[in-house]
Amino acid sequence: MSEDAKPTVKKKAPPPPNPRVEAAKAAAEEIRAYISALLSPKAVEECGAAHVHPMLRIRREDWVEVVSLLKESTEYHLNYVECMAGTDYSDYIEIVLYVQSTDLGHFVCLKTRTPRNPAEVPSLCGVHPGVNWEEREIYDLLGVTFTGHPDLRRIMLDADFVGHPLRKDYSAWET
Amino acid sequence: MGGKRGNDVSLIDEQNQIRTEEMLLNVGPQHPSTHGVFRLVVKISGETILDAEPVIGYLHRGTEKLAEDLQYTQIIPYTDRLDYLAAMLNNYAFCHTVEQALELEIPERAEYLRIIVMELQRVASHLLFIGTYLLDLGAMSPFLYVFADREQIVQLFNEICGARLTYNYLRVGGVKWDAPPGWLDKVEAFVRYMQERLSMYDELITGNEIFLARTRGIGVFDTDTALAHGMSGINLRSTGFRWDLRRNKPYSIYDRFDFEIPVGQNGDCFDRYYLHLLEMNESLKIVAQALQQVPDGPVLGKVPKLIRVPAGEYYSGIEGARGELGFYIVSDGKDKPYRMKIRKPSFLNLQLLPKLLRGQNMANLIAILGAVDIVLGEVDA
Repeated sequence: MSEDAKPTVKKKAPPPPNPRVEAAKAAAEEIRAYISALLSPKAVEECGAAHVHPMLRIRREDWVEVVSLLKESTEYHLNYVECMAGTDYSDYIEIVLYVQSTDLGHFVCLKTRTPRNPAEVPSLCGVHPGVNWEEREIYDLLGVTFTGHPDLRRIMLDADFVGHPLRKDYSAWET
Repeated sequence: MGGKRGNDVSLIDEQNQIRTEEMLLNVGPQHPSTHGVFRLVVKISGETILDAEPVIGYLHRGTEKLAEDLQYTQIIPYTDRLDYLAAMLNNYAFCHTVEQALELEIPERAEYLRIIVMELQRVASHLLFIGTYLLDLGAMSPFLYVFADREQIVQLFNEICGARLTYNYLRVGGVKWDAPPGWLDKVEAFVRYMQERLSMYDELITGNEIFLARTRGIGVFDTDTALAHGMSGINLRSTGFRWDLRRNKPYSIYDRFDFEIPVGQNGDCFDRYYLHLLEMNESLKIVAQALQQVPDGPVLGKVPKLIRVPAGEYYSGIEGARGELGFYIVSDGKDKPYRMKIRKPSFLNLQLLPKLLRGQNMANLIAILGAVDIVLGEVDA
C-alpha cells in the first residue's frame, strides 16, 4: 500500500457553539457585573450556562443577599421561584434555584455549594416564602440544614427516620 | 338560657356567646374529601379554625431516588404514578426535558397526537375536579355525570395505548403507537359532544345558589401571595394573573393554536371552579384545531435505543393540569440520570393552605382544600 492510500484519521471538528448557550453565558456575565457592582465582586464564584439558561454560582455567605437583590431589582425582578433542588456531588452538595421574572421574562439558574458535612445553607424563606416546603424536603431527603428556616422538620419521611436517602452514600439496606 | 340548666358551668360566656374550648381535630389521613392520603391537624375553637397543619408523605415512594437507578425510558411509567389523574401530562413533562437535553426533532404527527392526548387529559382531570369538588360540597349527582363523560376519554386513551389510567404512551422522541384507524374521528365526535355537555354543566352548576354561597369569597388570596408562594396553574390564574406556560413559554406546538387563557377576578374558590370549566372549553378548542391539522407520517423520531443524555443539567416545565410541572435532570453522560427532581405543582400549591384556613369556619375547610385541587400522588411523589 502506498503512503497516501493510508486512511487519515480526521480530527472531528468541535461542534459549532450553540447560539442559545452563548447568549445565556453573555447574560450570566451581565448579571455577574450587576451583582458585583451592587454587592461584592466576590459574591459570584462562577458564571456560565446551565444548558440554555444563564447560571451563576453564588458564594454561600451571599446566597440570601444575592437572591434578595435579584428579586427586588428593577432590571431583573426575579420574583418567582420555578424550581429548587439539591444535588449530592461526591465532595459537595449543590443547591439549585431556578428563578423567573414574570414581567421581564428573565429566567436564571442560581446555585450555591456547601460542604457535605456539615451541610448548611442559609434559608431563603425570608425572601421567597414559597421555598419553605422545598427547603424542608431538601433537608429531609438530602440532609442540608437551612439556617434561619422557621420550621425545619422532615416533611416526606417519618420524624424518626435515620439518614437522608438522596445522598449518594445512602444505603437502603442495614449494613 | 344557660342559667336554666341549674348547674355551675354555664354554656354561655360573658359576651353571650356559646362557651368553647380549643381542641385538636385530626382530619385524615383516610378522609374522603382529601382525595388521597392526606392528613390535616386542625386546631379549632368551636367551629372556627385557629390553625391547621398539613401532614404529608403518606404516599411518598421516592420517585426521585428510584429514577437514579432507571434508564430514561424506564422512568416514564413512574411519572404516570405522580399525578395519576393527568398521567399523559406527566409523561410529556419528563420526555420534554429529555428531548430538550438531546435537542431532538419530534415528527409532526407525534407532536399533534401528543397535543390531542394532553388536552384530552386536561379535560379529564378538570372534569374529575368538578365532580369531586361538588361531591365534597354535598352535590352527589354531578360526580356521576362527570364520571360518565370522563369514561369516554379514558376509553379513547385505552384504545390508543391500552391503559386506562397509567398510560406510558409518550416516548422520548414521539409516541409509542400511532392512533388506530377511526380514532381521530371518535375524538372529533367526542369534542362536539363534550362542548355541549360543558354548557350544560355551566347552566346547572355555575348559577346554583347553594354552590355560590359555599364558594364565593371563600379562600381568597391575591396575586402577590400566590407568586411569593410559588403557586401556579389555576390557583395563580384565579387571582387575575395571566400566567400559562403554554402561552408564556411556549413548548411543543402550542404557538400554532388559537386559544384563550381565562383568568379569575377575586381569587376565591368560585373563580377556581369556574376556571376549570373555562379551561376545558379552551382545551377542546385546541383539540378541535389539532384534529384539523394533524398530518400523516412517523410517530417516533430517530432516537437511539439507549438514551444517553449529554452531561449537564436541564430544567423545563410545562403547564400541567394543576400548574407548572417541571423536571430537573442532572446527567453525567450515562444512560441513567445522576439526579432527577420533580417540580410538583400540587406540593407547592398546598403550602398556602394553613394561611387560608386560619379564622375560617370548619365547614369551609372542605371547600378551600377542594378548590386547591391537589393530587396526593404528586404532592408526596
